[in-house]
Amino acid sequence: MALNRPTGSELLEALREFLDTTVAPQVDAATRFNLRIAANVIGIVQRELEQKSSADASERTALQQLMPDVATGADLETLNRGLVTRIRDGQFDDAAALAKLLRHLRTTTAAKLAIDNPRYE
Amino acid sequence: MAGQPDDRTAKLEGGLRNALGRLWQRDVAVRDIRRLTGGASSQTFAFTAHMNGQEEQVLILRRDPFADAAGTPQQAETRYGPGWRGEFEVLKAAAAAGVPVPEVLVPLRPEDGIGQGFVMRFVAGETVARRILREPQFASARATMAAQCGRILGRIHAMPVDCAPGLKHVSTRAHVAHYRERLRQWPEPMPVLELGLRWIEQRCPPEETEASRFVHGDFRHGNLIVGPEGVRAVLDWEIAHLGDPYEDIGWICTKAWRFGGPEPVGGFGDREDLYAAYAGATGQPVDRERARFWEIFGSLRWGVMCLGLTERHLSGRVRSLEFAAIGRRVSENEHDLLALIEEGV
Repeated sequence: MALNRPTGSELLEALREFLDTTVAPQVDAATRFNLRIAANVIGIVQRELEQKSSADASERTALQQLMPDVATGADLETLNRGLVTRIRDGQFDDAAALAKLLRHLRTTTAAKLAIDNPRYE
Repeated sequence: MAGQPDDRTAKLEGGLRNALGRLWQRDVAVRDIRRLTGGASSQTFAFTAHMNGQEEQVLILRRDPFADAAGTPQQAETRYGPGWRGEFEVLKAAAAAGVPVPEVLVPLRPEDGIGQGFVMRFVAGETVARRILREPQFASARATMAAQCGRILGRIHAMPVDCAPGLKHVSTRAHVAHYRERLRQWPEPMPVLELGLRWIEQRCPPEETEASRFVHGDFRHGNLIVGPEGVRAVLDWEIAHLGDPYEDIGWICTKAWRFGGPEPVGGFGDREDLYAAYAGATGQPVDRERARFWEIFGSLRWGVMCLGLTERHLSGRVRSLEFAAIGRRVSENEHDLLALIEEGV
């Protein structure tokens, strides 16, 4: 079932504008500080709505390539738990395995940052 | 104080008059008690004290109203620290060692009825990192602060290990085990933080070769009072302990404390300036590998601390937009950790 406009992202944009232009000028400095956090949070949710499913799909594929012995069809959380276990067990301690792991983690972390804080350097 | 019950103000007034009367052996009037922005484990108030024939003074009360009779703070984060009596003595010892700190005046006693803590003098200046890093009045401070911090840390790390009661030795392994345990309590898998922990665990020095020197434990923006000439006072000694002093060097260089500033040391300075001043103060060249180890530790520590803050919101113990949002800043720490690990590969 297709929902009516505005989209979720457009609703969030309207909410953010409301907070910035209507609410912010009327409140004290401490509340304005929290309003900036609120605006950031809305941006995170907008980017999450837009990017999460494709980021998740890429991560699943990458995890299965990194750990080919894990059962196919495993969900993202199960795969990441498997990865954490292997890291703790030292399976990525040697240079070659570590290089592969770092490449993978660089990619997933960059995808997270694109949603959480695309301006971070 | 707006919104505070009058009897709390009256109680504080009474307790402060008691404590200061004990110190100065005079009648002391206390007014204008105002709560400053405080941390999770303690409260900080500013107030005005006045005695007949003397000028008014602005003083600071630091206290925990809920500390138990032994003076031990209740919060997990401060359990490494020396406790309230210890912190008072640490501040005296720091002043004696030439470290810029507020002058402590008098510790609280149970009969003051306002918890555990102490009174110290007010030091004017700025603690907010964004202002220190951006405002023109702090331009010359920014240019000299890395070297100042190096000298100050050199003096802190030379403080005698028996300068105060309650100082605990915390080995590197114990530090790491603490964060390993906190990460274990977080329900989601966190592969980057796990890798950071693994990396650090593999490089922990053996306990027998460990240093046991005085460590501040939280030397960073927010705990430095800064004026146009630079650092005026170092605050928040509540987790001071004994161990590897490079912990402090790593923490001030941890990216989270740069607050968007361009430079590696607190956003304001160069590592070389910090290291050169530290080497000058200690008489020994800086061990860069050891400094890097503690920078990596710093990123891991802050990432795990952010998980803890967001957990407090998610669990309902406190409902806070700021705590909720901080959970989505952990990806920044993960980015920093990976960059540091890759540099060292």
